[in-house]
Amino acid sequence: MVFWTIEYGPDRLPGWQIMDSNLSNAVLYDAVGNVLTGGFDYSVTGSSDTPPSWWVG
Amino acid sequence: MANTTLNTLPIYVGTPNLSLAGALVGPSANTATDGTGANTYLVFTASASGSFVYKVILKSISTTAATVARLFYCSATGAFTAGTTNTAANTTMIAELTLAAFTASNTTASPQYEIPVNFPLPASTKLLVTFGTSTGASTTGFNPLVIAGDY
Repeated sequence: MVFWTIEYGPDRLPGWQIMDSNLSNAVLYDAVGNVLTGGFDYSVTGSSDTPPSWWVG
Repeated sequence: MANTTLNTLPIYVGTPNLSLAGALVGPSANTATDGTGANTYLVFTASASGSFVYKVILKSISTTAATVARLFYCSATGAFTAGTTNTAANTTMIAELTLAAFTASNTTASPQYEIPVNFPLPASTKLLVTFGTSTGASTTGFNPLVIAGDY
């Protein structure tokens, strides 16, 4: 898996874009592991070698 | 009585207009499908006499994650400020295109993506592009090219 940190929404809240290793499927999460839905802007702020603490994939 | 303002002959574009985003776009994404959002990129503005848009071309720049490209029509005619000018009332989606993940290579060509448009745009109206998920780091993404002609 590939773990990217993101900032989303007008308040630039922290979250994650988590993808499979070939970058073909992405799911967006907030900082505590809830799937993000709806329409919002976001930017990738970095990548992480380790998953977030709540990740059980 | 005939309406003498209607065209009776086909018109052709007078000047080619190849327009591009002017920067790599894609790392900053926008999940909205109603045309709103600040991560919305202006890729084409019709001329003062209107323009005919043939297609939009997208090619990967470096390694890109899978995403979806969305092309919007925006009827606003003034200056464009992303997130302010584009509202749900004046912007609507024309097309979506799934973009597969691609690993940068000098031996394998990146996929050629084209969105056919093939209709005229009224004077000063716009085409906008968004990406549904981030394509990756700031050095990865797309620089959409619009093939058009001005009347």
